[in-house]
Amino acid sequence: MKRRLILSKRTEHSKENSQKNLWITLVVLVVLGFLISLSLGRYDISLRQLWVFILAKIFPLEHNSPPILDIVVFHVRFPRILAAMLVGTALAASGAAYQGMFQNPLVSPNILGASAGAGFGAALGIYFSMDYLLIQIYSFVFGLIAVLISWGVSTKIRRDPKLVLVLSGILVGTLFTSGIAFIKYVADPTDKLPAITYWLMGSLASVDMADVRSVLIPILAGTIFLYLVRWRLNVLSLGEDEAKSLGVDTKKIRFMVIICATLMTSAAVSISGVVSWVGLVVPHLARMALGPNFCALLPASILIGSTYLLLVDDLARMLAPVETPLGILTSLIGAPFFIFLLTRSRRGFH
Amino acid sequence: MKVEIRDAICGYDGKPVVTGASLSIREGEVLCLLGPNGSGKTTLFKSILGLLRLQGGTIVLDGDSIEDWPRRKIAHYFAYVPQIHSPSFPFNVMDMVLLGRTAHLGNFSTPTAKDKEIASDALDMLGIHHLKEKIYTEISGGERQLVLIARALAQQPHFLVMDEPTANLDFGNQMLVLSHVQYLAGLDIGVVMSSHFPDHAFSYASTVLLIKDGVIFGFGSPKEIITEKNLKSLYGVDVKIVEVDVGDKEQVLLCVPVSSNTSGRGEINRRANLAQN
Repeated sequence: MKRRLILSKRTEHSKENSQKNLWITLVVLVVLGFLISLSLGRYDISLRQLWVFILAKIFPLEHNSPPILDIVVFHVRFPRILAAMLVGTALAASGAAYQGMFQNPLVSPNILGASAGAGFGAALGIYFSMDYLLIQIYSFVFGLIAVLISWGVSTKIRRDPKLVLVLSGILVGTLFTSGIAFIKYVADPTDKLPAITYWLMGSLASVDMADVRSVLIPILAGTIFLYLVRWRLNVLSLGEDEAKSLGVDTKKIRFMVIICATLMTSAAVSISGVVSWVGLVVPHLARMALGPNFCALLPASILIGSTYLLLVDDLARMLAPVETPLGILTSLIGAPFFIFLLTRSRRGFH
Repeated sequence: MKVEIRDAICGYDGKPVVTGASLSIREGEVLCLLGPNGSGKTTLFKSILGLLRLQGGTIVLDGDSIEDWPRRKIAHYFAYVPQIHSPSFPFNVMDMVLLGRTAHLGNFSTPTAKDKEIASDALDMLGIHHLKEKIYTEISGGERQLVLIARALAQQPHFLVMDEPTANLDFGNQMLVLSHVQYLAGLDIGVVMSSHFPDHAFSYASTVLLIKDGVIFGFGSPKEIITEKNLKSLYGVDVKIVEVDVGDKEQVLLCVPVSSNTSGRGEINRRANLAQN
C-alpha cells in the first residue's frame, strides 16, 4: 500500500516535471524564434553580431556594429516581428476561445466567418480611405456581425450542431467574401485595388511601429480577459445545460467571450489581412501537448501561436527573392493539417 | 430542507410539455420518476434546475420561490448529473470533477488547493480515486457516470437531479450506481432520478412519481404507487408484482412482465404470427 502510494507520488512527480519541461521548451522556442527572426533577412546579421549589438544598446559598451544595423533591426525587423507575434497570439487565442465556447474543435476565426467579416470591414475602410482607427472599428463590427450570424443560423437548426455551425460559418464567410469581391470590382484599379488585393492575401511586409501600436491594446485587452475567464471557458465547453447547472451565467460570459475573440481577430486582420488556419491549427497543437484545460491551453496557444507565425513569416520573407504572402503559406500548412484532424478524430464527431 | 413544485407548467418556447405538476422532496429522500419515453421527465428536470423557465406554477425551497435566483445560488442547492456523454474535449477526470467547484469560485478565479481536496474526497467517496489522472473520454460508461456523480458531489449541493443514471450501463454498473445513490441519500442529499425500471424504484426509492404524456398520475411511496394496474396504464404492459425472499427475512418486490394477448410478449407473438402468415 505504502509502496503504491510512493509509486503514484513518483509518477505524479515525473508528470509534473515533464509538464514543466514542456513549458520551458515553449518559452525557449519563442525567444529563439524572436532572435532568429531578427537575424534572418536580406541583410545578413549573425546571431553573434546581434548579441553584441543588443548588449551595446543596453549597456554603454564600445562596439563597432555598422550603423545600418540600427535601421534594419529596430525599424524594419522589430516592428514586423512584434506584429507577427501579436497576430499569432490573437488568432491562436481567439481560435481556442471560439472552440471552447462553441464546444466545437472544428471552428476557428476563419471557419466562423469572423476573418471574412473583418476583412470585408477593412476592405470597406481602405476603399473609403479611412484612417487606421476607423478601419479597425469597421473590421471589428463586421467581424462581430459575421460571427453572430453564423451562430444565430446554427442555433435555429436543431440537429448535428457541430457540423451545422461549421457549415453556417462557411456560408457566412462566403457571403462576406463575395462582398469583398464586389468592393474589389468597384475599387480604383491603379491604387485601391492592388492595396486591397495584396493586403487580403495576408502579409506583414509593410507593417510599421504605428500599426503595431494601434493593435496592441485590443489584442492585449482581449488576451487578458480570456485569461481571466479561463476556468469559465472550461465550463462553457461542456455545453449550455451543464454550464448553467454548474452555476455559470452562460449568456453573459458567452457574449463577452465572443466580443473579445472577435476584437482580437479583427485587430489581427486589420494589420495582416486574412491569415488563415492559425486559429484552427495552433489550439489543436496546444491541446495535444498540454490537454484541453484552458488554464494551460490558453497560454500554450499564445506561445505556440506567436512562434508559429514568427517562423512562417520568416519563411515568407526568405522563401523566394520576392516576398511570399503569409496567408498563402499558412493555408498551405493549415489545410493539410485540417484534413489530418478530420481523419484522426473520428471519435470526437457525434 | 424541502423543495416543493406547485402546479408547474413546463415546456419549450411556449409549448407546454408537462402540465399541473406538483411534487415535493426532502433532503435524504430518493424520488424516482417512472414514465415512458417522451413523457416529460427530462423537461421536468430541466425546470427544477432552472434551465427552462416555468410557464406556470412555482418552485419553492423552504418557503422561497427560486425562479429568479441567480445561477450560482441555484447551483449551491441543486446539482445535475446528466446522462453519460462525450464532451467535445478530452478533460482528465480530476479536471472534470473540479468543474463541480465552479459555483464556489469567483468569476475570474481557478480552483484552489482546498477545491482540489474537496474534488479528491468526492472521488474517494465513489471509490474511483484511481481514475484521477485518466482521460474522461477514454474510461468506461460506468466509470463516467461515477465521475459525473463525483462532480455533482464536489458541488456540495443539497439536492441531486439525475437523468436516467442507469441508462446504457451493464447490470453490474447499474447496481453500483444505485448503491451510490442510496449512499448519497444517507449523506442527507435529496436525490431526484428517473429510471425505466420499476424494480429500481422498489429497491432504492423512498418516493415514486409516475408521469405520462406530461401529466402526473401517481405520487407516493413505491408500495402504494407501483401497482399492476398503474404499470399497465403507464407502459401498456401486463405485469405481476411478486415478493421474493432474499434471506434473513428480507423481502424485495419485483415486477415481472406476463404474457397476454393484447400487449407485451403477447403482442410480439401476435406480430410474429402475422409475419409468418
